[in-house]
Amino acid sequence: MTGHTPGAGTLLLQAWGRGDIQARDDLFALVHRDLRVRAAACLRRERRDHSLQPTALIHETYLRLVDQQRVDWQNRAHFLAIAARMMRRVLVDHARRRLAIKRPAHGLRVALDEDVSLVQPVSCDVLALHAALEELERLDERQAHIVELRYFAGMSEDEIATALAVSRSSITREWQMARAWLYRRLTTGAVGR
Amino acid sequence: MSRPPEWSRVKAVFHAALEQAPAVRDTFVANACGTDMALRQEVESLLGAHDAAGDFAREDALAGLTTVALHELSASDPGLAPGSRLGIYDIVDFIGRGSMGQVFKAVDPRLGRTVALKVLAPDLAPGPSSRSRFQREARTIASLNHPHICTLFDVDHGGRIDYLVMEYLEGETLADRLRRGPIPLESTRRYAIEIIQALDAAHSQGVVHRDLKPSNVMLTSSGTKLLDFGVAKLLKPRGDGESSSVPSAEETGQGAVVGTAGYMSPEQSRGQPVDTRADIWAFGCLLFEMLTGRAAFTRDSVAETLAAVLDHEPDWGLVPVTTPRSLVRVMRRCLQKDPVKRLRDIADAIEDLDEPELQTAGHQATSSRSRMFRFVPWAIATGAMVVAVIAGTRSDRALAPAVAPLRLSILAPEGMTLAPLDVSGAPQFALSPDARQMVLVVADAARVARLWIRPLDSTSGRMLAGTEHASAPFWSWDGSAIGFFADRKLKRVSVQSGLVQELADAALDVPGGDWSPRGTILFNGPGRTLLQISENGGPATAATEVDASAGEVSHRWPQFLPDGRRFLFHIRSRDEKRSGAYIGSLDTPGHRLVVASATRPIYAAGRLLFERDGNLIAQLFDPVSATLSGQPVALPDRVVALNAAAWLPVSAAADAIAYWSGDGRPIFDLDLVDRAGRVLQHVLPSGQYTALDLSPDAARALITERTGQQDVLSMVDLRTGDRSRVTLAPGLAHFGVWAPDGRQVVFSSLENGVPHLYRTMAGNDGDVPIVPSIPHPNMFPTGWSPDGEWVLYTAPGGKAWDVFAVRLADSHSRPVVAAPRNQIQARLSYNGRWIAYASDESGRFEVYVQSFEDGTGKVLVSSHGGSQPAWRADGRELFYVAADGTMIAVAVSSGSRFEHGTETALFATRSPEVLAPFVGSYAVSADGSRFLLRAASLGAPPATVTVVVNGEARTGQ
Repeated sequence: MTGHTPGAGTLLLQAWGRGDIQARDDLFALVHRDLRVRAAACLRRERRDHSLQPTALIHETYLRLVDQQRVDWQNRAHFLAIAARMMRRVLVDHARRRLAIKRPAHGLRVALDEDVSLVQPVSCDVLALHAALEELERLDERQAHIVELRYFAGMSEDEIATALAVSRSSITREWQMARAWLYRRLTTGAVGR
Repeated sequence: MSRPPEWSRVKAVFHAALEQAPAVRDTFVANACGTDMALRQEVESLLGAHDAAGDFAREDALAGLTTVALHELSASDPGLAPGSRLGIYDIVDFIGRGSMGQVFKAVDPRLGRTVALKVLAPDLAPGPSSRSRFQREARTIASLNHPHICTLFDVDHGGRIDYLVMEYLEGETLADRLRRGPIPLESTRRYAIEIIQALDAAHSQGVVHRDLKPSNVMLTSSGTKLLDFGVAKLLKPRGDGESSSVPSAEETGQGAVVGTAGYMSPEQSRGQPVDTRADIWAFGCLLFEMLTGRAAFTRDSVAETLAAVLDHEPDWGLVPVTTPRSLVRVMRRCLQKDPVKRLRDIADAIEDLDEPELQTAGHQATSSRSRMFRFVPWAIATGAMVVAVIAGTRSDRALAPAVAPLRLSILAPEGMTLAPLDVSGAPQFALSPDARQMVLVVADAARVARLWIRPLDSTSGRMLAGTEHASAPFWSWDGSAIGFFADRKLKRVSVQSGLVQELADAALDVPGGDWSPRGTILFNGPGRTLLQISENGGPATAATEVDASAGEVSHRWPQFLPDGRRFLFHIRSRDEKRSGAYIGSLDTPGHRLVVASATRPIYAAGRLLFERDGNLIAQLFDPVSATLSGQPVALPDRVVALNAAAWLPVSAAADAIAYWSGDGRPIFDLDLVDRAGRVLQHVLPSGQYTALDLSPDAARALITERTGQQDVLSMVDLRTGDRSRVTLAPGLAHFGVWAPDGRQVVFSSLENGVPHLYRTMAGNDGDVPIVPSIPHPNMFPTGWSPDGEWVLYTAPGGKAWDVFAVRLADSHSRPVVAAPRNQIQARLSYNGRWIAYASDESGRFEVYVQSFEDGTGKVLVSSHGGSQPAWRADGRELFYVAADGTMIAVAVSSGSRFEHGTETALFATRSPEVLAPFVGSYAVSADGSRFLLRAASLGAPPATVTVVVNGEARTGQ
């Protein structure tokens, strides 16, 4: 049997919706594997032009794994939350590794892929943002969640509003405040007291 | 002190405040917070942050990270952090990740042994049904115990994670090493022997590597180690659909092909069963890549790679000429596409490699002098190529020469570039008389040129000290010394001792020389004739005389014929038909045309080489009678030279010919940048731009682009990107300068060797010639007077390039700055009072300013070398490019005297070294805020010199 049936993702999403925590972990693994394989395929296909955005990747993955007819908006939000969390982890891991890599280059290098050594500058300090976001999570989980979707999964405000089933203006307001809070945190270090 | 305000209240006031008009926001917050000062402070602080946040986090984290994110994602797995434990192993460090999964450094606490753990990607791990097979095969691999095989200790799985436990090694992979170029012969031989021994040991136990490639060969202090022996089969991706939700088997299988296709034997590529002969094929690929630095079959795509594996021969011409015959033979036998014809047993290879004495066929110890007179094999190769070219049109390579000539590509050493001789970008090089080594001119990061000697059979060379600013090197007849030009002197350097001697004054641009067997050096003198001098110095005397009545402009680039008395050289004439290769003699005056050609002639092995229409032409030439015979034949190799009197980037000696085909010719970006060097606009795609200027309103650019062998001068509207040609006049050396009113342009053009200046006006078709009252062999306009009355230009003066001005009303011209040294790139200040220019009177180019009217009040402006001065329109700033390429702004105070103040470094221009008298790295807008910059394109490949050596003589294959 080749390819995915949207069945697995759908069932796991539904099970998770019923409170099955194991289903969430399994879904996480499923999404991760699918994203991973598809990212690798993208890299192979588009060696000269990595124009495909991970955002698009996430959406496609969702469409592949989940039967749209059988899940509600909440399932979708859960799914996107997983994808965003995953991208955040990938980026944070990457940033951490880059910090750690400042050791001499004579270590064992076993069968590394040629392109992986390629390092690109990160426009915003992902690690600092990640730490600040963890603080914001304690203060306002919803705002942190919006930032995660917005910043780490590249979702637009409209998409977030649809996914969370709230008004666009509400998302905009929360985003503005979260952004101000994070900006202050990152530029002045003030947590807010 | 005070407790942090409640978040929900902060939120409410913050949201409400943002709905207010900015003007009343503060009042609103004050009212809403009442006496709760902590709340008010917090909201105000957040509102401030909101206003300041600007673009913060507007781009998502993925925007700039697409590739990295995809890589991370594609390779990410549940992380194993240092300090954690996998099975019994303590994870020490993350090492990297490969196509199979992540690799960690770990410690086996039982033995205190450091190991490497290779954690398998989930889709490569064995499923329940195949686990026993996996374990069995792993045990076989683990039984391989050989000093040149990385030992597999164990395979294990902990939780959901499968991993291999392997010997921990330090070093780099062969793939890493090959990124720095080919491997010297001795090391190649040693590595090859070790790899053979490892393969032989494994093959005798029935284990096939299956995935031998440079990234699976580790170079350690104790020799080579083959990694992942047999692992490819062990980890054969499951295609059996063990889990329906995992499509990755198929895709990862494809991935494996991508990484390995270039080393996969033809039978493997066809999906046929694999045996030890697949490893033998891969060994052949490794050998080829070590010797040449290039993969034998790997191409841009898998499809092309597989096609190459199945149908194409590797480019044998890349194999260095010094490679022992036996080694080439082994390699060819390993790379037989038919496994039946391939080397049967890897151990058989060792006999050929293990020979204590490495015989190279072409290296008999004959005197280099006598070799030159023999009918050298290179000539045969030329003949063969000629046959191929002629026959090629009919039967498509059916008659191709049986022996392909060998080819080498020579690059500048790391961190350096091949220094060009002129704006064509042609590098400067000369083969030694025995064709064993080559001297090249290379420039360091500070753009200082030096001589570099590179033996053809080695990838490393050596720099000759004391040869700073060298150009146009040539060898002594016995190869013990090199003549060259530097700082407008003829010099010589001993190859052995490194002693540098100055011999005489030399030509001011594109010089050239040659050394006779009798110790006479012929060279371009400071005038426009050839001079001769003893190799030991002394007075230089004229060897030729320029016949102005015959339209002769200059004599250059001599080459002695074998008798050491007569010589070929190039004459540039106003009559195109009379420009070309001439023959002269030290014994009798006068000279005779041999063949008309734009470029310098080269005599080699009974043939005369010259350029015609971008082709390298060879024609039989009798050096005794100095006559051509037979038909001129275009050689298959392309050469690039200016379509004007030019040095031909070709060198020939013994059985070798070296040339530059234009690969890696300088490509420039044309960008509009701000004072910090930030790119505001990419004006045109990268190209071969030679000159530029910016209109006074900075709305239009004047661009000269070399297309093929012509210059195209065009105007680009920076707002719309529209591009229109300024002139349709054919010719070269177009340099255009905007008039201060922005409505006229003056430009130069070299047509059939004759220089012209034209003026062209917007909306007025036709170019109006300007004929200065002083005739010049060359002219390059550089600026206008602010009233539009005078045009400044650079032209050859008495001894060097000088600055002249021509009055447009009556074409009256006068020298403005004339001195023994070069004075170039003159620009007038806004009030027409001061002239800024570059001069090398101090030994290097610096920027000077002096009075335009009477030449008084000369001031040195630049501090560390400089050229290309340009004024801000209001005269308050003077810009120039420092010797190291930095754009400098100098504050200028107005007054009756020219006074300059502080210097500010603005940005690195990435512009090439000044090639007097040319100008054209940048232009600045009237307000000094924007620069049109011609910068070396970062994407351009480095220049290489190709050396072709007749294969038969050197390899005997």
